[in-house]
Amino acid sequence: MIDLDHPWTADGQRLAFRAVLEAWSRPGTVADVAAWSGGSRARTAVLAGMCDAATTLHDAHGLLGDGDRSRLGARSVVAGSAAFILADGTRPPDGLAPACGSLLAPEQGATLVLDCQAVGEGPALRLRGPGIESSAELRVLGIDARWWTARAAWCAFPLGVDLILCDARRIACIPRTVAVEA
Amino acid sequence: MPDCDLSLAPRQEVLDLAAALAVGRRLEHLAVPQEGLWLLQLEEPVRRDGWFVGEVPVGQACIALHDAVRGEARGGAVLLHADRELATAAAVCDAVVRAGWPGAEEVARLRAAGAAVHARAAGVRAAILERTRVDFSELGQEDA
Repeated sequence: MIDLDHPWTADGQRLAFRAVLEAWSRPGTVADVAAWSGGSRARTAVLAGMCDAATTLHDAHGLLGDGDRSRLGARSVVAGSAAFILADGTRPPDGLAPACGSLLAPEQGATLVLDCQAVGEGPALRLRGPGIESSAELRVLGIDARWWTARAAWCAFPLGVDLILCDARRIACIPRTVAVEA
Repeated sequence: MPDCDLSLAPRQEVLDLAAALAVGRRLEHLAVPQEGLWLLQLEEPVRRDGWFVGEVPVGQACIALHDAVRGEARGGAVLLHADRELATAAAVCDAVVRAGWPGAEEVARLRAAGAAVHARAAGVRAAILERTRVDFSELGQEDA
């Protein structure tokens, strides 16, 4: 009767969450989540592992279909109060104003899930910060350069946003603590 | 009939009926079926603060059935059982009844079976409570 496939299975969600956790711990490393995506793009596995009815989500560019949106269970809210924001990284972040938290509650800064053409391929970014020994290189193809300008404006530690970059099957994480040189 | 009837009907019969109702139709899960403990929150009436009275086992499901001829029917179920299989089956039954598709009479039969179980349990509970009844007015008359 229950014939759900990954990423909507309990195992798929747990494994996707574990993959995101690993990627958070080592900024710039690329994780392949295709095994738990059930044929969907990696962003769906990431959101399925992170979201539930207790979270809030803003789909900035309408990337989610009705079925996936409903199964996520997260409440739809405006960008400024969303815990998670899904956006098309190939488009500029025009007018997007995510929550950056406050000095009393920096954890309320949003997590941005950006869908790109490819993670692990393309132009190199140089990352420095916690979780990285000296520096790391992350290649990302098809992300609008204005996201980096916007991120620099949003992030003033401890305030800011955290990024999860996704393509069809891979993810990489850039916490707010990491300095990015494009 | 109360909504709890299907959860009190014989479990395997509900599962079998739902499986039969879904034959030849596409079952879409509108929400991921869940089972577990639900933290039950109440609101006290003076300051309207929320407080947690305890946890109850819950299974819930929300589905759509797609029929090539009849179209789409949606149904949902929240049961006081940590059993998402049963909740999904109940949601399928709910969809068929709400849409008025054939098979609704079979669902009604199972609901009646569940209602009978509920009535028997309520009768037993009422008899137990009746034995504990105290008539305070009679106590007052003895004092006088």
